[in-house]
Amino acid sequence: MIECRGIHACVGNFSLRDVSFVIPAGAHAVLTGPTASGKTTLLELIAGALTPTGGEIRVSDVDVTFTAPELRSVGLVPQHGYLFPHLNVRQNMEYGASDRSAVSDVARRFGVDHLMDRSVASLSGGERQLVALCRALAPRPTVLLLDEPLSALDVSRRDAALRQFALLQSESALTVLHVTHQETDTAFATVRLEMADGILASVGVTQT
Amino acid sequence: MRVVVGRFTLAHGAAWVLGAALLLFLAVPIILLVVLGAAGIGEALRDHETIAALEMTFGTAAVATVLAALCGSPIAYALSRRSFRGRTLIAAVVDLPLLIPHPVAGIAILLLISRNTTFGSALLDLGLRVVGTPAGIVAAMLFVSAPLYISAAREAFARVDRRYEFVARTLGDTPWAAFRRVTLPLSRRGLASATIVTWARAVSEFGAVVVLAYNPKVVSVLSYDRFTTGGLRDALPIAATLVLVSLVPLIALRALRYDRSNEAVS
Repeated sequence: MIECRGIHACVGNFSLRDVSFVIPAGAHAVLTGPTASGKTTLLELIAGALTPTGGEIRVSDVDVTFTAPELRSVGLVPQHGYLFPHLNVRQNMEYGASDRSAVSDVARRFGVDHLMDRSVASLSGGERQLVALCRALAPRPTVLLLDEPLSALDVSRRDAALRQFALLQSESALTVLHVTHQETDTAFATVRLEMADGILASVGVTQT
Repeated sequence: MRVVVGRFTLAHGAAWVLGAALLLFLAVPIILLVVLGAAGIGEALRDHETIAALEMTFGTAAVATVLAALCGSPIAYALSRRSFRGRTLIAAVVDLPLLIPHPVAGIAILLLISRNTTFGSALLDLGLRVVGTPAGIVAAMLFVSAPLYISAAREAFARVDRRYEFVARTLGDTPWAAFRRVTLPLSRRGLASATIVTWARAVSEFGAVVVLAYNPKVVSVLSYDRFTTGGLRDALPIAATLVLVSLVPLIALRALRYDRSNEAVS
């Protein structure tokens, strides 16, 4: 579960104002909105990269507003993946995982198990995104934040990845907040959020 | 009126001439020094005083470099990553030694550590004599070379996108673990380059060292000593040796920079 209560934040000249919403445990929420509307800022606040100037952030019913990122159990797939270039694919995926079988499991689910010994530099854009997804999933976070994680994938691989998310969520209480510009990515969404110019313009439940 | 010969303008020609003149001015004295001093290098390397000076130079420069890296890395990291009150002041303090003449730097250190000062007498009470000892040489080298380390290390850390560190934090790393596992490996070439520059600067230091410790002699002081007592002929072999030694870090730096051109950090 992710809950934001009256979040305010400033990043340079940009400000996020009075953002409040609740995403129930196990839900797949999509966050849409124009460029520079505050979507990435909101993810960074929930992940702990930024501290809000006001309001409260709760993850799994715990106030994490001022909690260090490593203690939040929040996984993050940033927009460009940010795979560690000095580590190979396996080392990237095992980076935060305490259980290596979890790494093998997510690698198999997302079809990247054949890439394990490759260097990061040799991967295509889509492969990088899938490896970044697996790296974030391997530590088994309770919340996963995705910042346009499937943008470099072709339609069939994107659909396959979304189906894997749906499957993962049916097996666990993983809560997903997914920033996207792709309408097709909303197929499995149960909550829809829309940002506009630093405020939450709309919240809707699309499925139950 | 613009004089054009093909695509080569008069301005191009002037730029080439001025640039070539400066290059010649930089290179010719050093080439002359090595060529004229080369014949005596073998003899210089059999001279016990020269060998002792070389050992003293390399040893003290190594200690100064290690101290600069240990104490300077946290400062460089903080300056590259954090916004905090006093940041500008700290950056100015770090740059200050680069702006003052090195003998003046030596005098300034002397004011801090001479036996007449509280700090200096406290060091003596602890059995640590600084003036006229290898510790004094290290202090002088550290003072003039640490700012170079901090500046280069700061640049090396700044080249690593901070999002890598943040991703590591979301994967369970503490700030120290993220630094050790991500930032440090990604900035290693820049830090190695900073270390080499620092060591090379320490090796070549004269002004501050000569104030704090004329003896035991480092190579730069020995070559000056030979010059004042025996003239150019006596100083040449040692000076040529020092120039050849300086080529080692220069080559290492070039190799690192060539390597870095293929590196994608951010």
